[in-house]
Amino acid sequence: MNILVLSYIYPPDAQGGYELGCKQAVDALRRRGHNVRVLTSTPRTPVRPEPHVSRKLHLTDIWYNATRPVSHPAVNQVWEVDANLFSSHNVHLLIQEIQDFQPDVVYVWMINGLGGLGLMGCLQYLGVPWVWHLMDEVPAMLCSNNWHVVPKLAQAFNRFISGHYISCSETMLRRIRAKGVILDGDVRLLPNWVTGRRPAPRTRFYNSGELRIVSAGRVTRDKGMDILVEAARILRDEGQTNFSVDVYGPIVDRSIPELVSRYSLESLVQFHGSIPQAELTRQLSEYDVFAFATEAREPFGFAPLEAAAQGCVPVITRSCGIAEWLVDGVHCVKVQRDARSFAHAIGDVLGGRIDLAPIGRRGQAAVWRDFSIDVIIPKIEDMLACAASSAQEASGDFDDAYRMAVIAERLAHAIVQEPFCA
Amino acid sequence: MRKIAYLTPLYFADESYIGGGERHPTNLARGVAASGEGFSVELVSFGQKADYRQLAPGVGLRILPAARKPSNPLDVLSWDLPEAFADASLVHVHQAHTRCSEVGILVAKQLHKPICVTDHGGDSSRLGAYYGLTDLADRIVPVSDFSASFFQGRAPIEVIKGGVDVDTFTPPESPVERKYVLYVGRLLPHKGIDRLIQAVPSDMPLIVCGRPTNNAYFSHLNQLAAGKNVHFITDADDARIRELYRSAWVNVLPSVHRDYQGNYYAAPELMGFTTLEAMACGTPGIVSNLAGMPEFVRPGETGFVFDTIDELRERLIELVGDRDRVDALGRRAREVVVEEFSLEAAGRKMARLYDSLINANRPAEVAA
Repeated sequence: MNILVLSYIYPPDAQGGYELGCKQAVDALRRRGHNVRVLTSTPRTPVRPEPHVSRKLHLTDIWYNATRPVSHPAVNQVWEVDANLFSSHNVHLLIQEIQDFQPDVVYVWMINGLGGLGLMGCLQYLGVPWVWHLMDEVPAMLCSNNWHVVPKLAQAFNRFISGHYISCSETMLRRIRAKGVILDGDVRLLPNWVTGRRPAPRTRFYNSGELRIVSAGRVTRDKGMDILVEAARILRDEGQTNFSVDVYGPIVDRSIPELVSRYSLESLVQFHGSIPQAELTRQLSEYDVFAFATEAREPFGFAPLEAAAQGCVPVITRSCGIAEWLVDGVHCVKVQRDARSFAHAIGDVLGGRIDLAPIGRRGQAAVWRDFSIDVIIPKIEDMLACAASSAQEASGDFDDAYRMAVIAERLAHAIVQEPFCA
Repeated sequence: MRKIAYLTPLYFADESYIGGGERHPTNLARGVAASGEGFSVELVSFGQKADYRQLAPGVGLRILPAARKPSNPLDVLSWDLPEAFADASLVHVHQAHTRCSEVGILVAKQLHKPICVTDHGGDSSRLGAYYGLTDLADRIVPVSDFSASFFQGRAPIEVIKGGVDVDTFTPPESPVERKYVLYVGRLLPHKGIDRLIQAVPSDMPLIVCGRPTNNAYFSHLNQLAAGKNVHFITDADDARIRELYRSAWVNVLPSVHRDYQGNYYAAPELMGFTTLEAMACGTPGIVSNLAGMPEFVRPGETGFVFDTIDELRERLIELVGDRDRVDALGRRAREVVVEEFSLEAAGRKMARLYDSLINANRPAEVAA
């Protein structure tokens, strides 16, 4: 198949698992003989050119918000239009790519920051089949203003956008739908995956001595890094010091490392910053527990799966996305999302009440059996083929699609600014 | 029964707006519904809250809750437009250059609906015109050749003139006395009513009937009328207007490109609906020789056109009092309106156009 991939950024320009997952899927599809082209934004830092990656789209970087609080509200409104609703520039490039590459299907990933709603509207108008791989609440985000869903915009989305969706968890689907975005069409659940060579089954598990705990991800409160620090403090205050917590990932919220200093936990909790993905994967095999105290809205979470793939037992928030795919006490340990619950679970491991060995063995086997990309990619392929075969005979005109995008963008700019000009 | 959605930012009612641009879609809808081609028409307009009412057999008015109160009422929008268009076989956008029509055309196009666009002279946004919005339409349906001349894009044009209710606007059953010269329409500067008042001899009765929506202009007209036999009627309903038409020697529509203050109007009248209503009542029409108006009057057969105030004065002096001639002109005027410009005639033409566009669009509609 000719597969056109649409993603707001693309590795090595990446923020997290969503973009890395996109690249892994692209590489896997290419390995299986598909002709894959990636259309993404101009990178935020220099990257090497790759023949199958076209980095031309304009990204409205809503994640970099240094100027936002002091910008005039009208400027912020225009920014939101460009990021979520319409970018005629990006529609123009998408149309060019469709004409040039003639994809059988467009494989959509994260499209915030690209005027994503307009891109989907364009595909819908042109009758180009698409599969939208959701590892975050992207449709709801696109229907938002200042991070809150506009119900009428969500209704419009439901009216206009219908196709094929892959969701990484039921939890995320429920959250999207609770915000009024229905996701009309063929919606299938597919978990995230692990890549790389399957290691030999792990044989050494925690028995006694120092319990090595690891976590990875952005050091923020929504990722629960503060909860882990609090849990460490509780354990220390209860007299448990035979453990260590190593955290890998960029420090976004500096108040969290400061907690470590305030509680004098430097000997127990350490932040190591970001390290390359391959290095992190290798390191995971050296740890006993992967602590994942992320918030409930976490759609999935690649990292605990990667840990389990190395026999490192995930201790995870009970309500997050990946919790749907792993069984408590069989492949992982699930706890409530609070410091005391995490401390209690770690205390149970330290006290021998939880035996990590069987959980780690079963978890590692299950991940490579059910969550390997080699197992997942045929299912994605099937979804893409299914969408491609449902291509509409009648479709809109390319010129009309572009004209609509231009007018919609200019209209939206005018409408959001008018209240400030009255 | 196939449904046609008529998007019109304002509708013909006291709570919305009373003007030819609002009456015309309503009449046209009745003509289409009565055409026998299997269409119903739903006028889609706006108000404070959602509402629906039946206007005539096969014609409904759906009021959508306005999303905001725009500075110009023609720029009204509603989030419910997609829903309103969803089950329509075709969307006819009345008004070409408003925010409402810009958004309406985009929504209809995204839904793969065939689109017709008719300009009624509203001009609150030029954004769409600048970016070729009407090129997205399947057909431009101007109300006159003059109106058609403003469209130079790629969308095909089919002029359909008229749309007068010739069953409501009828001649009197028995002859009535003709008593005055008549103007009917909104009292706005581009209507050139000041020229008419200047043209009438001081002893010739003139009735100026319309809503004074521009206070400064209304004051100006009152000043000009001082010492003349001019009577203003500002609250007439359709029945009263019909009686006024029937008892008039002539109905004058003296619209101008440049008003009394020097302001320029590129399209002061695309059609001149009141002239056709008067003609339907058996009263000849006299119109300025500009814009769309001359297309509807056959000089010497159904009425006259004029260029100058003096010319108008001479024509009025010539006709007022010549009952036989005026009656003859009026009879022929009625015949021409019934044959060519009635809502039934326009509705039939429009229904045939809709039918062809819907059939041509069928695969896209099925896919959408």
